[in-house]
This record gives sequence, structure tokens and C-alpha cells, in this order.
Amino acid sequence: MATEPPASPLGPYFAEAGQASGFDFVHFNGMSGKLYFNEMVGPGGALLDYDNDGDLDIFMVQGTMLPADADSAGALFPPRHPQPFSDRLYRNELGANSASAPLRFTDMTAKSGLAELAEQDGTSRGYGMGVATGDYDNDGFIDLYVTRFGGNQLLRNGGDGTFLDVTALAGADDTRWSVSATFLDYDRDGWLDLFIANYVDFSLASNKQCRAATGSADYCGPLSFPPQPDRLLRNRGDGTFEETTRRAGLLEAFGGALGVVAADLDLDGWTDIYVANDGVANQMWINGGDGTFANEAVFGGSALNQEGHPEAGMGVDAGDFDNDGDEDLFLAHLSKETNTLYINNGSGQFQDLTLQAGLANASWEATGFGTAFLDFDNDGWLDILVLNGAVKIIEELARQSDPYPLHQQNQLFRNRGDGRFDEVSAEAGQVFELSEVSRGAALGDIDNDGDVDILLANNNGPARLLVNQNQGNHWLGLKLHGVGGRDMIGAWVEVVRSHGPSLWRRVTTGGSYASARDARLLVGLGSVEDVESVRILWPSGLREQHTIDGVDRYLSLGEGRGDALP
Amino acid sequence: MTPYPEPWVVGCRPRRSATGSLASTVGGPLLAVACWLIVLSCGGADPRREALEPLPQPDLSRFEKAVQDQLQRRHGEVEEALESEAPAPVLAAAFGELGRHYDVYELLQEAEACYRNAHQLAPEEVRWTYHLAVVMQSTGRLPEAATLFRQVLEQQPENQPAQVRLGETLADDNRPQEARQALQRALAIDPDSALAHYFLGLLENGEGRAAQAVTHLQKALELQPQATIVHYALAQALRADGRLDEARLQAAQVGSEEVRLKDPLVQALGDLRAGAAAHIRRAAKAQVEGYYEAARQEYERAIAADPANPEAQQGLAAMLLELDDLEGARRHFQKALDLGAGNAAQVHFNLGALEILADRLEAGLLHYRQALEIDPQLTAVRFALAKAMADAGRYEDATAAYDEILQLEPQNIAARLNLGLALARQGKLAAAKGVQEEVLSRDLTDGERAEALSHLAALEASGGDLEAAEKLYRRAAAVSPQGAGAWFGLGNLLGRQGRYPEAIEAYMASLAIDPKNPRAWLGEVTARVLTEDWTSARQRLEVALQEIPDDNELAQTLARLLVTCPDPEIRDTARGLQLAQQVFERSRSMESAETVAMALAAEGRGAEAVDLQQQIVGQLEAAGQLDAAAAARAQLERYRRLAIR
Repeated sequence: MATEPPASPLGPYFAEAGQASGFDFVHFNGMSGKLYFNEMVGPGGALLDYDNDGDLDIFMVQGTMLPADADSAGALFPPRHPQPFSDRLYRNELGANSASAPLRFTDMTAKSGLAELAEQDGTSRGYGMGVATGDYDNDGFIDLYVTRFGGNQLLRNGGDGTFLDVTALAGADDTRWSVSATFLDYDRDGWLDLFIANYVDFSLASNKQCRAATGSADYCGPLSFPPQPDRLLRNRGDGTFEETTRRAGLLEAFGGALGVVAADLDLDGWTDIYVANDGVANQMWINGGDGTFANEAVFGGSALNQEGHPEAGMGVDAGDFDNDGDEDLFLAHLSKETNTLYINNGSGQFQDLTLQAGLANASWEATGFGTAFLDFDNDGWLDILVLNGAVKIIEELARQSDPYPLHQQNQLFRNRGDGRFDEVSAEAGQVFELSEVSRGAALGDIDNDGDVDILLANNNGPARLLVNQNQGNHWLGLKLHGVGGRDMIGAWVEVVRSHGPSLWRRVTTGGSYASARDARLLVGLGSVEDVESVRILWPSGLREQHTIDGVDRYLSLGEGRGDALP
Repeated sequence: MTPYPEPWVVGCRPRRSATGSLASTVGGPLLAVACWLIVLSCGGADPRREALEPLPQPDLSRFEKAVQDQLQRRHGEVEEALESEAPAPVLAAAFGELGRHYDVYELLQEAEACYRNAHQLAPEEVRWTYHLAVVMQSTGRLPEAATLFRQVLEQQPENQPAQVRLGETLADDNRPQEARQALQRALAIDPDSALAHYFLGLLENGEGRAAQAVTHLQKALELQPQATIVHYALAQALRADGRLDEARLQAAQVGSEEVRLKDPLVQALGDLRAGAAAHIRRAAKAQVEGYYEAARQEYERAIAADPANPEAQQGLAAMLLELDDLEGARRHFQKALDLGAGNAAQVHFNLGALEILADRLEAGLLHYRQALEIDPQLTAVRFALAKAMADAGRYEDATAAYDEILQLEPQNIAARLNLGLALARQGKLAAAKGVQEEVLSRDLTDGERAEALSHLAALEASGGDLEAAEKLYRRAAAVSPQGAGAWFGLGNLLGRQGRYPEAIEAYMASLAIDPKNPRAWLGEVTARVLTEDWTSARQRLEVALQEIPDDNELAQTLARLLVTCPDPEIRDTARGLQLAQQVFERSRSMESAETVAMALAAEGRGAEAVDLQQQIVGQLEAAGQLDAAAAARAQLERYRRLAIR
């Protein structure tokens, strides 16, 4: 295992693709001065190739007025997009163009049917929070599950550029306040199931008057409202889902959930579910392989921080940051708490080593939401992104008459390769100097140039696309697919190298906060082109090896086409 | 007055400390100080004055009036001390006091400036150094905090809170060796410092020395067994040490009670808070901890500070409700509504529950409906509304209300089960059966499945299909072996068929799970009596009364058995009479009076039995209960015959 910290690349690491690219989404949160709890919680966004043209498109979740039928003239910040308030879809025009061509996006909200859906739903539609992506019907086109304060929506990708609301038909409705959700194949039947993280039992009518230390009005915290149970929907394989929450044992524990990640934390071949709760203990649902789950978070050391305190779990991600073959966890938390790094011992048991990793003090003043393990410099070590934005009024800003005094700067932490991280926000680019109310983060290679880019969803502000400026290291892109071309969410991939430890990555679209990422794997390799093979544990349980001939490119690997492994 | 525990405070950093400090939410390193008063009053005479930081002038407009007045008063004292060129210790005290007041209202940068000045002017005053160190610690400036705590310890080497905080600060700054030394010195000052042991345990575990961690954490728990938070760290350390069974035991005991350290200086800050918000905060804390009387007093103080505060009115009402003052609660809930409480739906919900508790059903239902007008999504209110109507025998209305819940929440199993019951009560057995069968097709917990099966069994029994009912009860018991309801239902069903030994077995299975169910005890005893097993009937009744000593029906049944049993070994008329009289004293019911009369007759006190029974007959006739009166009269004739003999 490498012990020398890799040399730090020169910044800036990211540059923003400006509005000239055509990506002009501005989030509207409907705030009118009543400090509704839900108005500062969203949004998320997704990077997905909805038209299967080989590049990543963008889906952004939008808010509404509160209540939905209120006159938008009453909003403190006017909406930038035409009404009705609709989630928005942007098509990437990169297609087969060179990766060096400038990024261009076309707003497909109307053509995709999303605007029409918003029109039809009118005020009955919920207030957008987040999005999960996955090909639930195995037709080769990625579908959307939009979480809302109000009714969630399953939007089936018709394969012709349009989306159809099939929520009721599929039995995927949930009228509780959901924020994050994730697709996973928990029963390994080849059909993506759906886990929905629900937050608290809040309604506009039950909005409470909460106060800051000054005695002035402030947003309430999660413990002001009762938590709502999460849900697990099993895909029957016929376009419908069945409720299995109770049967799976998931009602035995729940808190106000904001983040969720699906990963095989105990490496037994069955996908587990980790739920980040706001202000109470997290759950780590270990999949028993028989349709039931057991919450092992307390025993397994990932329920609370090292001291036994619950933290305000927002975003969460799983990734093998120390390259030891198991997935570790990182959670973004409130200010005056640290963000927390739980290190896996290989059997689904964790230790909070945030302090030792050098990540404690850096997050002390910030409230983190979207977060992700990402290898931004392609050196083979997963770094950490944290998007910040407060949930309680920052008094210094309020005293300066700031109209939305929650904004903070985002952060990037570089993995030194020795178990420690350095904050490199100052070198990360101008966009990291902005102070905004950031929430969801989605990752993906938007320009197909072999490095990871970031979609950043701001509350009450413009979304931003952070384009990686390419650090020059080698990389390998993998698109794993099964029969019919579906993405192989849950596949566990070992990239075997001749001069270094193997790198382990999982195919997922989940994690982070209320957002969905590129289903392709992008593996940074550092300065040496030494990949021998790729070993894959497919979601079905099949193990295969593929020989790799050449790097710095995307490869498409299909299940059943490699050499079988025992 | 309810005893209210003295608050304990420690550690400023919620992440790495056992409790949060008073300073917790102000973010951002920079503060725009609106106005500057440059301190030059002493010319160059005193170098300590020259280096003072400007007197902060924070914008207080966001604070309530009482707090503004309080802070301005303190601010004026500093200004006065500056203008009068007061001696350094006096000026230091004025700055320090102002700092403490800023500190408590989380104006940390202003507090820091004041503490710095106080520290500068009077470095010998350890308290200002200490407060400054705590602010540094709470804002994450750990090296500076450590330096300041060390300064405190140079002057007061035995200052235990400073020593523990130094250890905590160093640990947070990832300086484990220094932290360990500091904490060990804290233990040298006080070997019984649970917090020092706790932090040492965390340190050792973080460095992979699990066995040492276990020792420290166990010691912390031994010193403060109530500190349930320690179980978590101990579970992790035991797990790391390979002691998995012990780790699981500890994990099962994890709670949120902190390890505490007495820290008088920080603790005293809380007493400075003024204004309604401060009282409400204290009240809420007392409320959460179950000190309702203390909470009531704090809410009353909040109302005195701000009579138009709906939160305080609502809080007071809730406390009065806890303290059984229903009228007071109603009055203050209403005031909260009049003052425009933000969560009016919840207030109406509370008022509805309160009215129903006071047997004013219509008033209660009205409040529930008002709550739903404000927030139609409140299914808890709908549920309460439906239940209240069902309890009042208005099953049709209850059915409609459960239907509405199910339209909003089709997955609400409890509503569906209750809907089935309400339909059954209306005699709509087929519809009720359909509902229960529909429930059974859903995703259910074992308990819910057993309940649905039991309901279905009861419906089958009502329809006369006893065989199907029995099968369903047995299925329910198999699905949820720990559910007493299915066994109880089965006992009733078997008893009804005269299958007493089997009924007894079922009742006993139910009672093994839920020994507090008097109906199951009565069912079992009845079955034993009907099989003329007097001995075991009496034994079981004695056991039942040990389980539920205040249950009148059980006591009365035992009394009747004792006075009427044909077996002289069981019969004990003196004790029977005594029991009957006790029950009568407690319940004053007609039935208990009849038992007393029965016991009197059995004791040979026929005249007294006749007297009492005559009164009973009269009462029943007056109440128009003619059948019962006729039965009582027949009994009266028997007593008369006994009296003549």
C-alpha cells in the first residue's frame, strides 16, 4: 500500500460552465418570510444520460410557492423561470463531439413533457426536493424518481425523450416529506427496488415559531416535528412495486432521514442501506439476504459519532477512500459538529476516525449537505467534496441585512493517501470562493474527458456545473451493463493494477444528498498505466474478470461476457 | 416545588465534548462592528489600556426588549468605567461582565473582545482567561484555547475543569499525547473525574488500544452510571477488543445522558439570560426532563415578561394539562389561539383531547374539526376524531372518519383495522370481513398480521363459523407468539363452546404474555369454576390479585367464590365479606353491594343481608332496571328465609 502522499496538483481544479452553455437553472424556494421549514431543505439534481446518446444530461428539481397556490408576487425572491414551477431537464449536446468542444445544453423541459406534467398537476403537485435515477423497468432507459414535500413521482423514461408520470400505476407514491431516495436491487432479482428516505411530519399549517438565541424568529430544527418512517418498495418486475417496509423490518427504527446510500457494507454480496438521520441516530440496515434487514448501526459503530452523540446527518456517501477493499462512509453535518468519516474494518463494522483524518476542525463552522467521495485529481485516492449552507439564520449575516442569511462556502478535501485529508478549497477554483446555500451534489464526467465534474444544486440560487480542469493522470472509464442495456447498479468492481493496490469502486447513482450521479465508473489511476484486469461482482452474484487493454478511455463491459471467477 | 437539578455544564464542543456550551450557533469568523469607541482614555500611562480592543457595539435590534435593556445596561457600565478612568481591575470586571452577557446570547465575537480586554487589564483574574479559553474552544481555535487553559493552570494548578477542558481541546486538535498527559493530570487532581476517564477512553480507542479504552470507559460508567452515552464508546471498544457479546450488551444500553463535570463559571452563565425566550427555553428543558412544575413556573415567568407570547401561553397550557388542571389548560390554550399561535391546528388538537378527557365530546369533536380545517393532512387528529366517535358508539361517523384517513394514507394499517372494527360494531360483518382480508393482503408486521387475523376470527365467530374462527385465532397465535390477543380470543371462543380445559390453556398462554389483562383472568377462572375445580380457581384468583391488586371485578369474583363455594376447604366467608366490603368502598356499585349482601348472608348475618338487599331492590326499581330488580328481589327472598331460620 502506498504510504507517500501523492504530489498535490496545481489548481484551480474546477471552472464553472457559465450560463452561456445554456444551463441556466435557478432554484426557486418560494420563501415569503414565514420561515417554512421545508423551503431551505432542497434541492437536488441529477446527471444522467436520459437519451442514451453517450453524454450526461441534467435534471434539476424545482420548488414552488408555499402554499403552491399562493401568488408568486409574495415571494421574497422572484422566480427566474416561467411558471408553472417545473423541474427542468437540460440535454447535453456533446454527443459524439470531441471532449474538447465547449459544453452546450438545450432546455428540454417542454419537449420532455415535464412542463406539461407540472401544468396538469397544478397546485396538487408537491414541492420538489430531490431525485433518484435508475432503470426500474429494465428497458435500457434511465427513469426518474422525484422526491417532494407532497407527492413523490416516478417518471418513466419513454425512450423517445419524454417522461410519463407512472407513480400511481407503479404503486410508488408517497405523500410524506421525502428528501433522498435510491434505487437498489436488494433481493438480487435483477429488478431495481426503491428506498425512500422520509424526513419529518411537517405541514405548512403545523409550521412552528422557532427562535434563535436572540429571541428573533428562525427556522425550526428537525426535532420540532415527529420523524416519518422510511419506505422500501420491492420491484415486482412487472412495472409495479410492492410495499415491503414492514416485512423487511425497516419500521423498527427511523429518524428524520435526509440522506441514504446503498452499498454492500459487510461484503456479503447483498446490498445494505445506510440512512443518515437529522439529529438522531443513523441506521445501518444490514441485508440478511432473506428480504429482511437488521439495524446494526449502534453495534457497528456508525449510528453516532465517536463520543456517542447523534449528529445532524444530511448527505452521505460510501466509498473505499483508503483502498483497502471495503466501503467507508462520510456524512455531512451541521455546524458545531464535524462532518464524520466512519472507517470500515471490512465486515461492516466502523470506527469514527474523523479527527485522525484531519477532517474535524475544517467543518466546524459549516453546515454540510451534498457530499461525495470523488477522485477529482485521478490519483487513485478518493477525495471528498462537501457542499455547505446553514439551516439556522447566521446572525452576523442577518445583522448585515442579508436577505437570505444562510450562505456558506463549499469545501474540497484532497486525500493524501495516508489516511489523512488536506483541505484544498482555496486551490479548487473561483466557484469555491462563492458563498451560497448549497444542497445537492451530483458527480459525473459531463464532457467525457476522463475526469469527474460536479453538478451543484443551490437553494434559492443558480445551479452550477463545475468542470474539472483535468489533472493529467491516467484513468479508466467503465460502463457496466446487463441484458437490455440496463445499468448494473450495485456491481462491485476491482481494478487490478500491477504496481499498486487494487482499486475498488461500486456502480451507483445514489449517495450524496437528494441527488443522482453518473452510473458509469470513472477510476483515477495516477501516473502509471498499469491496469491488468477488472474483476466484477455483478448484482446477480456472478463473478467475472475482464482483461483490460489500454486506459484513458471508456469501456463497455457486459454481464456474462468476461471470464468467470469462482 | 418540584426539585429541579442544578445544571451541570462541560465542554464547549458538542462534537468532541460531553455537552455543548452555551455558545453554539454563531458562525463565520468576521463581524462588522457597527460603531467604534476607541479606548484612549488613559493616554500612555497604562500600557495594558493601550492594547485594548474596541468596545463592541453589536446591533441588538433582533433581540427582545428585555435582553436589549440588559445588554445596554452592561454596556453603559463599561462606558462609564472607561470615561471615569476607573482602575484596571474595575474596568476589567466591567468588560468581563459584559463579555459574559454577550457570551450567553451567543454574541461570541463581542464576548471574545470583552474577555480579551478583561484578560489584558487583569491577567491575574483567572476567570476572564478561562472564559476566553472556552470561547476559543467553542469556535474551533484550538491551539489558542489550549494556550489559555494552560495559563489558567499556571495560576491555578488544581483547576479541574480547566485541566479536563485542556485535555479535551488537545484531543480535538489531534494531539493525543499531550491530551493524554493533560487528562492524566486531571485524574491526579481528581481520580474520580468521570469525564477525564471518558476522554481517555476515547483517546485510547482512537489509537487502537481497545483494552485500555475499555478500562477507562468502564471506570467512567462506574463513576457516573447514569451517563448512558458512555455505553456507545464502550461497545465500540469492546468490539475492537474482540469481546463481541459484551459489546452487544453495551450497545443495547446506549442512551443520551452525558458525562458531566461541574464547571461553575460556565454554569453560571445560564443564569444571566433574561426575556421571555430565556424562560421558554428553560421551561422547555424542564418539560423534556419531566419537571412539569418547574416548567410551569418558567412559562409563567415568560408570560409575565411578554403576555402576548403565544408560545408561552401554549407551553403553560400543556404543563397545566400534565398537572391535571384542565380548566387552566383550556384557558391558556384558548389564549394561545387568541394571540395567533403559529401552530393553531395543534392547539385545537390539544383542546379537543382536553375536552374529550373532560367528557365533553361535542366540544372535543369541534376542536378536532377546527384543527383539520387548518391542516387537513393531520392524520393524528383524524384518528383521534374517529376513535372518539367510535368510543361514543357513533360507529357510522367513525367509519367515515377512518375512510378519510385511508384516502390520505392508504398504508395506514391501524386505521384500516379500526375501520373493520367500526363496521363490525354496526353489524356490517361482511364489509368488516372484507376490510380485514384486505389488510391481510398488505405488507404487515407480525403483530399487525396477528391483530388482523384475530379481528377476522372474531367476525367469523360472530357469523357462527366457530371452526373458521378457531383456525384464524390459532394462525394469529402462530404468526405472533408474543401477541396475547389471539390467545385471549381463542380462550373466549373455546369457553363459549364448553371446551373448558382447552380454554384454560389458551387463557394461560395469553396471561403468560400479558398478566395484566383482567378479562383473561376472569375467563380462565370462570372455566375452572365451570369444571368445578374450586381449588385452582381460588389459587388463580389470588395470583390475579397479586398482578392487578386494584381490580374490583377480580376481587369481587374471589369474594363471591369464597362465600358461595360448595367446597368447605375453599369457602372462607369472613375473608369473602372483608373483600366484598373493600370493593364496595372503592366502587360503590350496585353489583358490589350485592356481593356484600351475599357475604353477609353467608356469614349468618341474615338480617343485615336483608336490609342491604332491600335497599338494592329499591335502587334498581327507582332506576327502572326492572329485570335486575326482579333478580335482586328473588335473592332478597332467599335472605329472608335464611334470616328466619
